[in-house]
Amino acid sequence: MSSLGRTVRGMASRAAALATLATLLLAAGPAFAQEEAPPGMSAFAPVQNLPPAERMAHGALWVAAYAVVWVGLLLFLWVIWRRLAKVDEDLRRAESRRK
Amino acid sequence: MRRLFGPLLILSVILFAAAPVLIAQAPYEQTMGLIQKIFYFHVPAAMMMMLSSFICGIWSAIFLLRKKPEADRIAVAGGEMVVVFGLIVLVTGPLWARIAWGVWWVWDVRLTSALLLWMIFCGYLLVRKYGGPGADKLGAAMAIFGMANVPFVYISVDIWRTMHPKTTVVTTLGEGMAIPFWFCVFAFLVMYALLFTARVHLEEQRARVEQLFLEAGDL
Repeated sequence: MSSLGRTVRGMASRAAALATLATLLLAAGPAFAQEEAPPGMSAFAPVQNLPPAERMAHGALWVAAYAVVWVGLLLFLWVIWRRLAKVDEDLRRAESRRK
Repeated sequence: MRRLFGPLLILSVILFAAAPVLIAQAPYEQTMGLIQKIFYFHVPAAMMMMLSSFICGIWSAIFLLRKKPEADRIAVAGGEMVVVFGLIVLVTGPLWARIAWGVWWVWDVRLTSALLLWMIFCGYLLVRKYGGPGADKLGAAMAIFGMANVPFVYISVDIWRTMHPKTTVVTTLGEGMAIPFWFCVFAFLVMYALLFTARVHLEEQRARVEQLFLEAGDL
């Protein structure tokens, strides 16, 4: 296949991927949206005596949210550490070659 | 700079281990119950995302004006932190919204503008990685554009009608909620300092390697 053919084919596949993504986003929008948005809260109302059943309701989502934070930050820290170790290794190699 | 890693890491672990204890003792919110407690990590993460946007934008502007490579290295570190903290915000937010609003996502102005801000900085990192010659300057301009978006994201809930809680929820917190909240903000700031210091150090080491290879004529 000529280089022009490959370029055209590549552009066409990218355009098709973009069109698919746009269609999915447009289709997903109404599915997620609510019809009428109530106004947002301007203050939280703390309460001490919530019934025990309501206290632990939706605990799984709450745990998931905290896990995302912990795992996300620790993973990022670990990735930085690994990248630093690799760069330090490159630095040692470059310095030894210089000598 | 490496000497800071140890103390910051120990302090971060202590603060992040203590935070759930304080959060557990905080009062429940009347209408949302337990799920509202995502607020104690969601909002500090959003604060760090916005702080990072400013760091990336301001240092990008310094890089464009003064052509200092050190400024560019700080901006790149800041840009990556926007994406990491932004991802935390964009994942924890829908987990809260699913219960509070009954839907995972709403295309309202706060959520959409926050998503756009995150996408701008994802674009910034992609430009930096794959943009080729001149990507540093193009990326810097993108970062300034991204930073300019931050005030709109912040005030959007007060200007437009949106389901998202307004900025006043933070200033009107009662003592029982305010103490764990500001403790979490501090914990996130320390964690941010640790990650940012390590990330800037990585960029500096990379620059040293590049310089050594250039001197050796390998690049």
